[in-house]
Amino acid sequence: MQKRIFVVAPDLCSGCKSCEVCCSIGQEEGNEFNPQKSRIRVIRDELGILNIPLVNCDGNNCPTKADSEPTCVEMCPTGTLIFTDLEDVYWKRMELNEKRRIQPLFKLIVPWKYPYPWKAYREEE
Amino acid sequence: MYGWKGKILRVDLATRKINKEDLPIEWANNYIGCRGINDIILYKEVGPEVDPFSQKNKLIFGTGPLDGTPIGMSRVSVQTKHTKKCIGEGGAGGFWGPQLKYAGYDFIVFENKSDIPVYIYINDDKVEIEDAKDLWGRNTREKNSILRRKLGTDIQIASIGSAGEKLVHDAKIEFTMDHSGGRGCGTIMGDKKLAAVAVRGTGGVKIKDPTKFMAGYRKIRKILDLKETVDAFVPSWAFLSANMMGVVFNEEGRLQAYNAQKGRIEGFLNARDYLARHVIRPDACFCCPFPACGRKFEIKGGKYSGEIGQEREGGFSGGQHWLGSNHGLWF
Repeated sequence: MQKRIFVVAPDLCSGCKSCEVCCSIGQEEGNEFNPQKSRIRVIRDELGILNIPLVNCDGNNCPTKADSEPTCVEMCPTGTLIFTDLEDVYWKRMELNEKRRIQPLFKLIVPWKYPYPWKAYREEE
Repeated sequence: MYGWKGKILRVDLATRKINKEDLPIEWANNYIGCRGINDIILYKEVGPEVDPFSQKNKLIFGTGPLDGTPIGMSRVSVQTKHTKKCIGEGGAGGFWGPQLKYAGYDFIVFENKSDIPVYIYINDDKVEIEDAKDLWGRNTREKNSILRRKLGTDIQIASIGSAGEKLVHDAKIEFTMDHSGGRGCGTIMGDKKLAAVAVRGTGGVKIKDPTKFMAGYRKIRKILDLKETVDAFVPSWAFLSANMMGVVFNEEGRLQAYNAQKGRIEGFLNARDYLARHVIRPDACFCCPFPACGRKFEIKGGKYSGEIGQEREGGFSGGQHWLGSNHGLWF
C-alpha cells in the first residue's frame, strides 16, 4: 500500500468543527477541549459558500484514534476529510461524481458514508 | 471543577461596573445545566413585583456544563422576565455558546439600564463596555459586519435588530448569523440599550477522563451514524431537517395551505427536486453529527438569481409554512 495522506474536499465541509474539537483533546497535557491546541483549523464563511478546513498534521501519530483512521476523519459527518492513498482518492472522486449525477443527495455527503438506497427500503425490494 | 468554568460575569450597565463571581457548587449540583441556574438566578433576584421594563429586571445568558465539548455542542439559553410577566426563554445553537465557555464564563447577568446604546466586548479576562452609537438603528447583519471589521473576524456576536431596539414585544436575539433566541428576550435587551455582546475566547473546557468521554461520544455517534442506524428519522432529519415535515404533512393532508382552506397541495414539495434545484453545500452548528441540518442554497433563475443564503431547521415553520404554503406559494 502507498503512503496514506490527508485529502480535503472543501465543497463538502459543513463547518461544524467536530474535527477541530475532537483533535484537541489528545494534544499535550491538560485534558481539555481547546480549539487553539488543535492541529486542524476550520475557517468558516458565514456569508459566503465555502468552509475550509486547514490540516497541519500527517495523520500517523494520532493520540486519540480508535481504529485505523485518525479521530478527525472518523468524526467528520460529511466525509470532507479523507485519509487514504493517492490512487484511492482518484477512485473515490470518480464514485462521488458518478453518484452526484444520479442522486442530488450527494451534494451534501459522500456515497461511502451514506448507504444509498437506504437499507430499510432495500430489504422490501 | 470540570465541565463548568465556574464563573458568573455580572455587568452593571448603569454604573458600568463589572464583577466576576464564582459559581456556587450547590447550584451546579442541584439545578443541572443552564436553564436551571438561569431560573434560580431569576427566582432569587427578580421578584414577582418587578416590572419587566424597570431597572430591576435582569437579562441572563447561560451555557451548560457540556457546552464547548462535542457531546454538549453549542446551546445557549437567554432568560429574562418577559414583557407578559412570565419567564422568557430563548435558546440558540451556533458558535456563540462555546466561545463564551472558551472565554472563561458560564453565565453573563446584565443588570440595570444604560442611558446610551452600548455593546460589550469580552476578550478572555478583558471585559469592556463600549459606546455603540454607530451600531444603533442597524439590522443584525450590519451590526455583525461593523463589529467584525473593528474587532476581528474570529469573534462571535449576539445582537438585536431594529425590532429589539423599538421594543417590539416578541423581539429576538440573533447569535452571529441565522441562529436566533426568541421569546421576547430581544425586547429586554433593547430596553437595557444593549446593542451587542461580542465574545472571543482562547481557553478550553476541562474534562476529567478524556478516554471515557470519547468512548461515550463514539457510542452516541454510532446511534446517529447513517450506516448503522435503524431509525428512519435520522437520515431524513440529517439531510432535510424541518423541511421534511412539509412533505410528511402534505401526504397526511394536514398542511396549512391557502389560508387554512386546504390540507394538501398537489405537487407541493419533492425532497429530491429541492436538493437538486436549490441546495449547494451542507452547513451545521458547532460539532453537529448530522451532515446537513442547515444548508447553503443558491437561487437559480428568476429575479433573485445568484442570491446565496443559509437555512436552518426553522425553514419549515417560518419560511416554507407561514409565508409559503399558507399563501399558496411553493417551489
